[in-house]
Amino acid sequence: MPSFISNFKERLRLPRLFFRKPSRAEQIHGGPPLEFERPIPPVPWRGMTVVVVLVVVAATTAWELYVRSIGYGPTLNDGEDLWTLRRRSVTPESVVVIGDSRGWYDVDLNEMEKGLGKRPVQLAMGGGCGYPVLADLANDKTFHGTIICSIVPRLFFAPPGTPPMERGEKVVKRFHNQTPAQRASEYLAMPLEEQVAFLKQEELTLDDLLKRLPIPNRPGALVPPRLPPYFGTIDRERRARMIEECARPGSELAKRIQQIWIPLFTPPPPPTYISKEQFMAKIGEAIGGRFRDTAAAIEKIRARGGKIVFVRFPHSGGLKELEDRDTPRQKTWDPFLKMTGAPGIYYSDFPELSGFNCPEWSHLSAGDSVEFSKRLVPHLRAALKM
Amino acid sequence: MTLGLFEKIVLADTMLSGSADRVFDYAGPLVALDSWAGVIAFAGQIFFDFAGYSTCAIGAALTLGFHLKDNFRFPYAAIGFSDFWRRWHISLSTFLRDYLYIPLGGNQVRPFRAALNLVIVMFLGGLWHGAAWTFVVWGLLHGSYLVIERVCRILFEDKAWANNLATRVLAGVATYAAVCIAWVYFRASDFTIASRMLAGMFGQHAHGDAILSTREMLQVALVTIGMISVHCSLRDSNIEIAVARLPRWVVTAAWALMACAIILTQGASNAFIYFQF
Repeated sequence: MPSFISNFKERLRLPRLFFRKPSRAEQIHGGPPLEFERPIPPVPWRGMTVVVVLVVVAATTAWELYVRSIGYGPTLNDGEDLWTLRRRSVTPESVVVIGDSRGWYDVDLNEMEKGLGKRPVQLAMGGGCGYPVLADLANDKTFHGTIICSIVPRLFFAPPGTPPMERGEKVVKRFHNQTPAQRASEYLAMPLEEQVAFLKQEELTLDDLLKRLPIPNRPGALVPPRLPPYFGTIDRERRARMIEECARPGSELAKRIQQIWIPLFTPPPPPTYISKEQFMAKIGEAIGGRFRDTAAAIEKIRARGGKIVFVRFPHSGGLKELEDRDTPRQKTWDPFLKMTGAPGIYYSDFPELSGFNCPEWSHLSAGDSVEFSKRLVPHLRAALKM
Repeated sequence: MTLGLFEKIVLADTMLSGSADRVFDYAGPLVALDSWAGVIAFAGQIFFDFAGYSTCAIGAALTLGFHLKDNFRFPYAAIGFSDFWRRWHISLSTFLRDYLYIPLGGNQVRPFRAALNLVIVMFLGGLWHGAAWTFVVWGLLHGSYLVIERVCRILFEDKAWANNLATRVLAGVATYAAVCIAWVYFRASDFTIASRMLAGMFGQHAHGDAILSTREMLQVALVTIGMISVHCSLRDSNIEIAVARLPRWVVTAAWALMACAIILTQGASNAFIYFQF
């Protein structure tokens, strides 16, 4: 087959360095002569490259304009690397917020800093279980600061191998094993994500767009429920804020999210390969284990002079009804505090914390989160004996 | 390099890995449809992952003036297992041939010893992937496939029907199915999972669970059909010839489409599967 290399070189007008053949001297002193040459197809590469670049730039711009027109805005992706960035900022005396998305959306860092004297490090995460982070802080022998841990029973007591636990374990693993490339990638990605709206992982990736296709499933198929659409922004401190469209009372977006929480918080049916009794016994065992492991982690932190307080953040509407029915306080929160011996703040115990309405049933609006945090601070100070 | 990234990021990680992971990570019995879909997804995933990586390496090397040989030549269009190993992971199979099979005597020895050589080579090829018994079984399966193929060749090579189109198609389908069955041992982390998967694939779990969404199964089916079609149409050719022969607007459109899909997928891809070996 004829070689098209010289043709390719001519068309691209690349420096001779890249495509020249080795000289006789190089063949002797620099290794064996070239034995194999890949044929380069004789097509007008330069012209095609220009067309491809123009098409890609036009398509990307059109996509960016479109997603902005339907309500998306630029925000950072809450990936493991951003979490790791914040985790690295934890000092031995830090105030750290851990747990699920309620501790993430409902805590205002400015108000906390004003009230507690230190700016908290935000390590809570959407759909995540706080236990792996708590255990990691307990195993960090230098840490003797303060932990504010949000509790949503279905997430905090999630058994090993479930998505909330995996989410928590993943971030901790990334913190300990982050490569320089991953770290550099995060620093490069942040300025881009702050400007470009379509760079939204878990929302606008090809995979997520395919997941939205309205294709019915087989009856009885054990398909995971959908996750809620974009409803918040985060900054470099991982402060999450609900977007205005979701915070507006009665908005379509809020209503859509409300209907997504229900299947997401409904316990899945027991798998077919194990009896219901065995399954429930296993779940009970896992929850008991989590109680014991949490108590042990708290013991370690306290032994070093650290403090912890658990907080149940507001939730409302149908989701509150569901959580109160499936994970009642008497079976989760009360025995958990009793066993761990840690202080806890249940929002409904205090009138000043109870009057908040969650637009999409699970989180406070950005405005309410500031007011809620302001009112929460005295309770935190009392619980932590500050 | 665009093609390599597209294979890895879009086809392997976005279109196939989710289904393969869900099926192989599921702790219970699965119905045949889901079991086969998971295995076929993995067959596609590992090809696109490794071939994508190899294509990226070829492209990166070429920009620096180094000419690397192909590592894959449309392996899922292979007719027979010796043909498969001439097309799959060519750098490894060539190494095994030159430094193990031929020094052991290759096929220039008695038939039994030649068969044993094949099994030894594939056994070591399996172990090369990792110190796990599942890789050993994967290697031994491929060794057995090669021995069976050799026996079939000896018995039927002279028959008139052995080389007609229907036989070749049938042999191609049988090769693909057998390779997929071997992938079960390659992907499963232990024999319990492998046995459960095979039981599901061969209809032992009629009342098992269905865990894949219709969308996931469609993705697996479409990508696999597309992959096998391309492999079959290019099995005696190569990508350079295809690019040279296709209309330029088709090549440009495909290139732009792949680049857009890579951007749309965003940067959340997994590490290359072969980095663990």
